[in-house]
Parts: sequence; C-alpha cells; structure tokens
Amino acid sequence: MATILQPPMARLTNVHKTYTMSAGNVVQALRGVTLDIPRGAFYALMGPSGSGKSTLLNIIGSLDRPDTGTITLDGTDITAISPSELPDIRRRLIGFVFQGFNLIPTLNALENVALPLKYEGIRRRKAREHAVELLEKMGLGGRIHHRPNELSGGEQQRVAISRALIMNPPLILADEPTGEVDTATSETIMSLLSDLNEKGQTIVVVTHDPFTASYAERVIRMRDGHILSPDEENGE
Amino acid sequence: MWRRKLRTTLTILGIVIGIFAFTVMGSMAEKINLLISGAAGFYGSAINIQGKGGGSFGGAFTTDVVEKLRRYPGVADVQPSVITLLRTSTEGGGFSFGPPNLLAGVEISDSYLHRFNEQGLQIAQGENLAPGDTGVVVVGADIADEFDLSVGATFHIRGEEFRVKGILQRSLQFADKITTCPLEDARRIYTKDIPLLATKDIVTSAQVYAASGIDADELALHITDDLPEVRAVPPSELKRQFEAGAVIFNLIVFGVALIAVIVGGLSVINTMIMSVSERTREIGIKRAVGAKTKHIIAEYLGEASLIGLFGGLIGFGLGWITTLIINAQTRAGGTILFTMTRRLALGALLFSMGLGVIAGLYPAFRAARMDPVKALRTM
Ligand SMILES: Nc1ncnc2c1ncn2[C@@H]1O[C@H](COP(=O)(O)OP(=O)(O)OP(=O)(O)O)[C@@H](O)[C@H]1O
Ligand SMILES: [Mg+2]
Repeated sequence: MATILQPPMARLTNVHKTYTMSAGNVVQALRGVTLDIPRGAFYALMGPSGSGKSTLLNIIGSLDRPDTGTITLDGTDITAISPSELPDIRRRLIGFVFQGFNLIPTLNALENVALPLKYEGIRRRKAREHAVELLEKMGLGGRIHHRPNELSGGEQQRVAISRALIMNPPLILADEPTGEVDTATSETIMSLLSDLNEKGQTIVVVTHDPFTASYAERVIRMRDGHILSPDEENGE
Repeated sequence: MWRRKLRTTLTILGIVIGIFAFTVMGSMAEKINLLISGAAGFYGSAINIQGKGGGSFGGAFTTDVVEKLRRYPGVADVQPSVITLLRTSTEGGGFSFGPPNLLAGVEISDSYLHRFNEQGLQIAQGENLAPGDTGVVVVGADIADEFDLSVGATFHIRGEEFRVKGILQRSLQFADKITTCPLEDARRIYTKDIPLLATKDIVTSAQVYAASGIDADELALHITDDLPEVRAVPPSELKRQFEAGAVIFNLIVFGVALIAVIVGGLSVINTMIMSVSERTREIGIKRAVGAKTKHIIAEYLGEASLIGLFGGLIGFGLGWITTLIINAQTRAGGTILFTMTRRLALGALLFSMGLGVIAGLYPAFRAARMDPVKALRTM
C-alpha cells in the first residue's frame, strides 16, 4: 500500500510541556509523550480532567509549542521551523473543532466558515460560494445568514465543523466536540466525523464520553501528562 | 455589544470634536495666511516709506520728500498714497471685527495700473481708475457687499459724494476691504479733519521700488540715513512682520491639532485596547484557523483607521458647515473670517485617518502578539 511509504500524519517524540503559573507554581502538562498518528486514523483521546489532553491536541495542531521533543506533521518538523510559517501549516493541514464551538459571534455562519479561506487569500466571492456549498452539504443551507446566537447548539457545532473542513485539511482535531450538545446531536456529529474518516481524513477526538469514543478505531488514555501503556490500562 | 457600540460612538465623537476644531481653526488660519501672503506679495519687493510723525499710519510727510525719493539714486519708481479710514471713528469706522475698511488715495499712473494687474487683482464690474479721474472710486468686494454698492452708484465717504466706477473681483485678500480713489480726493478728505496742518501737500505713505540690480534692503537703509523725515522699512523686515503674524496663527492651529491628537488619539487607543481584550477569544479562534500576525494587525488597524476617517469626515463636515454659516452671517458686515482650501480639507481627512492608524498601532500589535492557546482558554 502506498500509504505505508508516506510519513505518518503526525509523529510526536518525547514531548514535554510545562506551564508556569503566575504564582510561580509549575504544572507539568505533558511529561514525555511519544505517539504516531497514521494517515487515515480515527483516534479518541481520553483521560481525567487535567491529564493533558487539550495540551497535547494543541501541540499537535501547532497552536502551542513543546518545551522539548519534536512533532512532525506530514513529514515536516514543526518544532524546527519559524513560528511565522505555522499559520500556513495550520490552515492547510489542520481543522480544529472546539468544545464551545468557538464561532465568532459578530459573524454569520457563512462568514465564520469562510474565515480560513480569507486568510488563505482566496477572493471573497469564491470563498463565499465555496462556504455556501459546504454549509448546504451539512444541511445548513437555510441558516447561512444566521449569527451563532440564532443557531441551536447542534447547528453551531455543524458550522464549526464546516469551518474546520473548508480548507479540506487532512487532519481534524476535535476537543470535546460533543461536550455541550445532547445525545442525538452528538450522534449526528460523530457519524459525520466517521464519514469524513471513511473518506480518508485523519481524526483525533478528545472526549470524556465513552459513547463518543466508541466511534474511534482506537482509544488512547492519558493520565498525569503521559499516555498509558496497554499494561497500565489493564492495571486499572 | 451595546456597550461596545456606545464606546465606539464616544470614540468617534472624540475624533469629531478634534477634527471639527482643527477644521474651523484651520480655515481661519488659511484666511489669515491668504491675507498675509497677499499683503506680502503686494509689498513684496517694495520699500515702505513711513513718516516719523507717529500715529496709526506712521505719520504723514510732504510731497517734496516724494520728489527727493524719485530723484534718489537706485530708485526706479515711487508710488505715493494717502491712506485713511473709510469711516471716521465717530462713524464707527475705527472699530470693526477684523481689519478696518480703508480709503486709499493713489497716484494713478501707468506703473500703478501695471502693478495692479501683476498682483492678480481684477475688475469684476465697471472699470478701473484712469489717470485724470476725480470723484470716482473702485471698491473691494467686501465693501460692495457691506454698503450694497453697484457700478454707477453714489458712495458717501466722510461727507463727500463719490461715484462707484468699478468693483473688484473678490481676492480673499486685503484688497477686498479697500476703497481706492485718486490721490487728490483722499488727500482732501484726510486733511479736512486736521485743520492745523501746516501744508495740505502731504502723503501718508509711499512705496519705493528699487531699480533692477539694486538691493532693496540696502537701498532702504540708505534712504533712512539720508532722508531724516522718513523711515524706510526694508522689504525683508516687512515680510518678517507679516510672517510673524502668520506664525502665531499657524501655532494656534498647531495647538488645536495637538489637542485633537490627544483627545482623539487617546480615545481610539482606549477603545481599541478594550476591544482587543474583549475579543481575546476571537483572536485565539482566528489564530487557530490560520490567521497570520499580519492579518490580525491589518484587521485592527483597518478598524482604527475607519473610526478615525469616519470621525474625521463628520468633524470636517460640521466644521466646514460652521465656517460657511459664520461667513454667510458676517459677509453682510463685509467680513469673511474663514477660507476653506483643498489642502486644509485633505489635511483634515488624512490627519484623522493617520490619527486612527497611529492610535491603533499599539492595540493591534498587542492583539497580534497574543498567545493563541491562552487566548482560547479565556472565557
Ligand atoms: N496556558 C496554561 N497555563 C497554565 N496552565 C495550563 C495551561 N494550559 C494547561 N494548563 C494546565 O496543564 C494541565 C493540563 O491541562 P489540559 O487543558 O491539557 O487538561 P485536559 O486533559 O484537557 O483537561 P480537561 O479534561 O479538563 O479539559 C492542567 O493542570 C492545566 O491547569
Ligand atoms: Mg481539555
């Protein structure tokens, strides 16, 4: 298979991250994480609150930088390149979906979805056409001019997912995408992500919810800033 | 959202006030600058001869001094004149808003008419004075407005009747407030009120023009030395005096501009900083979807310059309307206080936009430097 010859979607090697709090306390959010995320994988990341899941996801997504260790995305070592190149990589390789939807309240659905295209430098008209097309595919054709506060939670999350997908990035990173929606909506969202995965997109979902995690092909468990080995998992 | 709108409105208001003041003061200064540059051009190369008697016009001197000047080596031409108030102080002539209305008696010669044209003055209606005229006047545009004069009308000046021969095109300069008549007529009016004068054969001032190749400033020094009756003011000194007046007004405008910077600029900075911290999360989201530093900076700078331009447009519009209204009201009294120029309009708008941009710089860089993860964690 050709995919075997390609580099993994993401590779983390011995990643450490500490946060220094204002009081001078040091939090070790990640203590040596090594992980391969193959192309086309669908992983769920679980673990207690504060175990470092969001930190790990942000570091994979180049929003945050590790103190030590390396991260390669699609073969590019993002810890070795200049920070000014990160936005381009982020836009082209990664789609983020956040727990609180994180839509911009002053922009309507269409404008929220078209935002990455704007930063890519795509002409406004073309960007809007493209965004409308995607929103229609997501079943939001009648909602394109609504502001986030005029949309239901499920609709907002679908807008947020559309925004993550608009650049057609190979890697989708979702931080508790079902955290604030009802069961029916989380089902819709997760089957949507499954469909995307089937079409080849790599997906990593952080979740507390076993039902959400059940959609993934593999569950990775974290505690105290590191990934549990199968032995540790069984030892629980 | 509502609080943000209110704050933005207040910010725009700050800029409006600043640019309003800038526009009004600026157009007053432009008027004064025009007057002064007109006057400087008028006297530009001339040596101004004043009597040593004192008084508001430097005192009068006799025509034999004029003859001496005409024969003086290096002098090409002498323009004697009798300048006095159009209305005596009892008639309310000495007291007015702005420069007083003057009656200028001039010796009408070919060289006078030549210089008239050279100054860019034009007759709007009727004709200019001609050698040998008597009992006629040419009036400035403000005078024609103030006394409701038309060509052929009778104009009463200090107890005498004159016929209006011509009306000048509005020059926005000193000439608008001047009534010009033949020298003899003005001299008769001037001396009538001073019965104790030893001789009626006087002038109140004269302009001396240096021959080509002669330095006018040096010539003036020699004249002052050689003719004890008069003081010859060198062109450079005259120019300095005029410019000193201009400097004061330009300083006032500069001061107003400074206040506009402080009021408008600080309110823009304040609003933009508030809006940056209010929209921290939004900035985090934009970073997460791939916005570069330059995108964030451009967005905030664009917003700040828009606030500046918007406030500037309103402030400039209000200021301009104000000057037009005041001008319309004072025109009847023969006074025009403000002049709008293209450079002032352009200056006011660029200034307001620049103000917005510069005031937006700090908040914009603050927004761009924000750590995306921290920005996203703030709720
Ligand atoms: N920017 C930051 N500054 C300081 N401390 C931080 C920062 N980000 C994360 N931390 C700390 O690092 C640890 C890991 O945080 P992280 O958000 O990754 O946990 P999590 O597994 O996502 O938890 P949850 O399930 O509650 O979202 C926590 O102790 C957190 O307080
Ligand atoms: Mg988290």
